[in-house]
This record gives sequence, C-alpha cells and structure tokens, in this order.
Amino acid sequence: VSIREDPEKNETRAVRKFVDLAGRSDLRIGCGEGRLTWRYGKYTAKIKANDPSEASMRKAWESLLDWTAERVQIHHLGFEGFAPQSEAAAFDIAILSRAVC
Amino acid sequence: MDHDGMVRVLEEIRWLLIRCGLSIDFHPLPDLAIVKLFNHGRILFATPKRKTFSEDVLKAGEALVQVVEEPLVPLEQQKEFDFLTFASSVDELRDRWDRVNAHDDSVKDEAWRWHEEDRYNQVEGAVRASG
Repeated sequence: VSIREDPEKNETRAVRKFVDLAGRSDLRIGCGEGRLTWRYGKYTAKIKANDPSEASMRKAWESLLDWTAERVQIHHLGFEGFAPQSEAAAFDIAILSRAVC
Repeated sequence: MDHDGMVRVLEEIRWLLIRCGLSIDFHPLPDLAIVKLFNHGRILFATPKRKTFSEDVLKAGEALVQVVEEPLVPLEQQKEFDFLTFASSVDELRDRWDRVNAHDDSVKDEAWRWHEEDRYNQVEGAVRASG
C-alpha cells in the first residue's frame, strides 16, 4: 500500500498554532483507525480514544506503537457510551475529525 | 448531523473538558476533494479549488453558541490547510476515500456523485495520457 496522508504535516502545523500539546491530556472521539491518535500521541501526556466501529478499532490496535502503549487508551464505544464512563473535566484538549459536523 | 445532534455532542465534549479546554474539529473543505496528478514532481493535472463554505460548519457554529451560552470570541474564523493524500493509482485513491467517508452521513445528491465520478474519470484520462 502506498497511500501517504499529509506528508507535509500541514495539519500538525495548524494544530500547533492553536495549542501547545506538551503534557496535555487529549480526548479523541471517533478515533477511527488511529491516524490522529498516533500523529499527536508523541506530544501529549495521555490520550483516551473511542470509536464505535470494531473494524476501525482493530486497525488502530494493530498500528499501536510501543511508545504509545503506556499513554493511549482506546475504547470500543460510541460517544454515548463513552462520556458517562468518564470523569468530568478530565481532558485539556479534544482533537476530532468530523465528529461534530 | 442535525442541530440537536451537534448540540448533544458539544455538550458532552464541554463536560469532559477542563474549564478553558480546547476542542478542535477538522472538517474537510470543500465537499469535493481536490485531485492533483503528479509525475516526477510535476503537476500534470489539478482540479480547481472551490471557494465554498460548508453548511455543516455554519450549523456547528450555531450549535456551539447554544452550548457555550456566551458570546464567542473567534480565535480565527477559518484555518484552512491542504491535506493531501498520495496514492499511486486512482483505484487506490477511491478505496481510501470510500473508507474515510464510510461514516459520513451528509446527503450527496446526484449532481455531487456525477461530479465526483467525472473527476475520477478526468484523472484516469490524464494518467493514461501521461503514459
């Protein structure tokens, strides 16, 4: 497979203009196959992610890297199930892709 | 997603975030992907960039005002950037976008589908012409 997404890292640059990710806890709703999770995982202190699709979750786990395993939690849940199981005010940032609109 | 759905998601996000937490939601603009055909670094074909603003983004802005219940101070009205997906064939690109769009429930009318198909056909023609 020779698909490459955003090799110029335009997205990362845009996000880092808004926020310094260092040491932040990051909420990832609808993490899909984990593209954003892995891309920003190296900057943040911890990530909690969820996705309702089992196939996507499987791919996300397959691409889990050693350095992210300690900091990343992925849950196979829709957002309706995820929010009630989480503490209030537990995250500094939510980085999402098409989660709201 | 309808207005009520947006409000529900934003309320949950607000509950999960600390006070003054930050939520960033990426949304593709425009609705049709821009396609460029590269050959040894040279652009052989490129579809034009449309200067439209997605209706969904405007609706999300309205939902956000309702959730926050305060006048919003825009950090930046719009932060647009190119997000290029490189593929070695049109089929590969189609497969990728089918997967990316699998959960996109926005309504795509016949004209949209025709434009999308026409776009892929143009690219396939350009690939053939380039040898």
